[in-house]
Amino acid sequence: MSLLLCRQEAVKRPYYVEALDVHLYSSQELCYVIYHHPLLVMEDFVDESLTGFIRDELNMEFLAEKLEKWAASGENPDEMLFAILSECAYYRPGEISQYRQQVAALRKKPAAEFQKERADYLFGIGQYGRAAQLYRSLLENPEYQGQEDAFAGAVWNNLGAAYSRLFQTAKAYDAFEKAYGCRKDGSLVKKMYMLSKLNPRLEDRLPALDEEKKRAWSKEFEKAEAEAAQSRAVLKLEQMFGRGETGRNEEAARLVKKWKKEYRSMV
Amino acid sequence: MTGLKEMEKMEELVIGIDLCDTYTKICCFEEEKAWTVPTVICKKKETDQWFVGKEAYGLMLTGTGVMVDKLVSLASKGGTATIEGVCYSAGELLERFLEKVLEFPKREYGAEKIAQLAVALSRVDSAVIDALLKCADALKLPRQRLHIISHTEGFVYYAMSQKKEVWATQVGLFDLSDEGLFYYELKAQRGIRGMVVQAEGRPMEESFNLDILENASGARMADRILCSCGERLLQKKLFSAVFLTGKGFEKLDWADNFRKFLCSKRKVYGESELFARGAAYYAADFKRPKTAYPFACICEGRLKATVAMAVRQKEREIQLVMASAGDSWYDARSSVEVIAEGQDYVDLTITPLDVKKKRTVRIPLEGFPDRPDRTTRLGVSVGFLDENTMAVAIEDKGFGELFPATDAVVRREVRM
Repeated sequence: MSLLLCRQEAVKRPYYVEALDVHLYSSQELCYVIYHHPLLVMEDFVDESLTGFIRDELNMEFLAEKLEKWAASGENPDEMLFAILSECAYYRPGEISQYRQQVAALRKKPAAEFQKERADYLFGIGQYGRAAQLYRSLLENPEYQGQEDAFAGAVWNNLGAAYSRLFQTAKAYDAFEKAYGCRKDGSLVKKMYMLSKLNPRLEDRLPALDEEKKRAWSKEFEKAEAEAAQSRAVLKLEQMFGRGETGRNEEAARLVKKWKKEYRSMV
Repeated sequence: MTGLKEMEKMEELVIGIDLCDTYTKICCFEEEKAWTVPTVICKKKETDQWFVGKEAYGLMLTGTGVMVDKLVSLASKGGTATIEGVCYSAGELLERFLEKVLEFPKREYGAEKIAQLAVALSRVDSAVIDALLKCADALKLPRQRLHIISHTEGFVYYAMSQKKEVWATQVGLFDLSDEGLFYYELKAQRGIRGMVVQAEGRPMEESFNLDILENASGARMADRILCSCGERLLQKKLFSAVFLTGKGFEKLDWADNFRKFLCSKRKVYGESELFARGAAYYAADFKRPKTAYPFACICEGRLKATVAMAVRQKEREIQLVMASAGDSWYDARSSVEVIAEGQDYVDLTITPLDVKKKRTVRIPLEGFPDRPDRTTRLGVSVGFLDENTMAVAIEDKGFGELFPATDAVVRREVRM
C-alpha cells in the first residue's frame, strides 16, 4: 500500500492508441496499456511515433533514445516494452517479471495460434474490424489456405462472428458456411439461419433444414427481437421521437454522432 | 545586505509598513527617514479629495471632512463606512489610505515603482490579508511583491538583521503604544537541520492607556507596572538584547525604575519603527538571489509543524513535504498528484518541532469511484486557513481516457 508520486508530465499532444481508441496523457497510462493488453502491444507498438511521444511529451529523453537504439539493433522487440515499464516505475519489479513471463509464454505459441489469440483479444474488446482483418490474414496465409481442420474452422467461425457484429451479414454468412465446411457443427447452421432472418436474401443459400428446428430457431429469433424492442436503448429512442421537433433533432444528431463514433472504433 | 541599497535607491522602493489600527509607520530599506501617520482617512465634503493623518484630523475638526478610523479592524470585520450617502468597503478605504501613505517615500526618494512591499500587522487574519491583496491589485502592485507578516515576524527580521551578538541568546521586546503593551521574545537555536528562530509575542494584561503618563502619579504607576512585567518576564533568563519600541517608549523619563532594571546586565536598544524596519528587511530579502536569513522562523503567522505525505518514487519511499514549519501560513500551499496503490485513504504526517508530538491524519477517500488498482490519480492540495488550521482537498483526477475523472472530492480541515 502506498501513494505513487506522479511525474510532472505536461502532455499537450496525447498519444492515440488506435486499437483501444484512447488517448494517453501520461507515462502511467502508457504502462497500464502495455501491462493490461500485451496482445495489443507485442506487434509494432513501439514505433517512431511512440518514441516521439515519450521524448517530447513525457519528457523522457533517455528512455526514447534507449528505445531507438534497441529498435535499430534488431534484437527482441519485447525488451522495449519491459524497458518502458521499468523506466516509468508504475509497476513494481515483481510485476514486471510476471509480465515478462506472460509475454514469453505468448511468444512460445505457434505463430498462427498467437495471431488468432490477438484477433480474439481484439474481438473481446469490441475491435471487430481489426479482429476480422487479422482472421482474414491468417486464413489467407498459404500455410492455412484451403485447410479444413478444426483450427481453420474456429478462425472462420470467429470471422463470421466479427462480421455479424459489423452488420455485414453476407460476409458473416460466407464465413460461417466455410466454418461449417471445416467442422460439421449444427450451431453454425443455426447462426446462418439467424443471419438469413436479418438478411432475407440469404434464405436461398440455407442448407436443407429440419422443419422442427426451423420453427424452434424462428421462435428464438422472435423472442430475441421482442426483447430487443423492450431494451432500454430502444425505449429511450422511442421517447426521443415523442418529443418536439427541435429537441428531437438535437438529440437525434447527438445519438447518430455517438453511433458513428462507436461504429468507427469497431472497424 | 550590502550593495542592495545602491542598486535600488531612486529606481525602485523597498518599503516596510507597520499597519495598526491607531497608527501606521512607513520606512524604506536602509533609509533613516520614517513616517508615522494615524491610521485614519478623511473625505473632504462635497469633493472627491481624500486625506490621511494630521490633515484628516484637521478637516474633521473644522467640520469640512468625514473621517473613518480603525481601518484595520474595519477590514478584519469586512465592514463598511457610509460617507455622504456612499457606502465604502473597508478594503476601498484601506486602498485609498495606503495609496496616500505610499506617496511619502515616493515623493521623498523620487521613485514611483515599488520593488517590494512588506506590511507588518499586529494580528494577521485572512480578512485583512485579502483586503491588502485587493489593495495591491488596485494599486497595480503585483501580488508577489506584497508580503504580509506579523509584528512577531517583523521583530524577528529586525533582530536577525543586527550583529550576531545582539541575537546570540535571547532577545526581548517591549512594545508600548496606543494599541497596548506587548511583550515579544526571540530565541535562535542551531540544530542539525540548520538554524531555527522561535519567537512569540503576547499582549500584557497589565496594559495601560498612554494618557496616564501625562501626570506624575500615572507615570509612577506605569513605571511600577513595567517593572513588575520586566521582573516577571526577564528574570532568570539570559538576554543578549532587549528592545523597546512604540510611542510609549519615545521618552523614558517617566520610567526611571524600569530603565534601571532593564539596563542592569543587559543591552537595551530603542527603535521607534522596529516593526516597519523589520518589514523592510523582510521585503528586501526578496530582491536577493539567495536569502540573507538562512533559518526557519517559527512564530505567529508561520507554521509550527511540517506536513508531509509518504509517497513511492521509483521504488523508494520518501516523505514528500507539503508545507514546512516556518513557512508563512498564507503562502504555504502545495498541490501534488499521486496514484493510490492498494489504499483508499491519504495519510498526512504532522511533525512539530518537538518530534515526539508527531501524528498522522488519515483522510478516507469517501465517495470516490471503485476502479482497478492504481487507476485513480489523486490531486492532493494543502493550504491553510490560519496558522493552526490546514485545509486539505483531495480530488479524483481519473486516469486519462481509460478511467475518466469524476467530480468526487474530499475536503477536510485539520487542526495543526
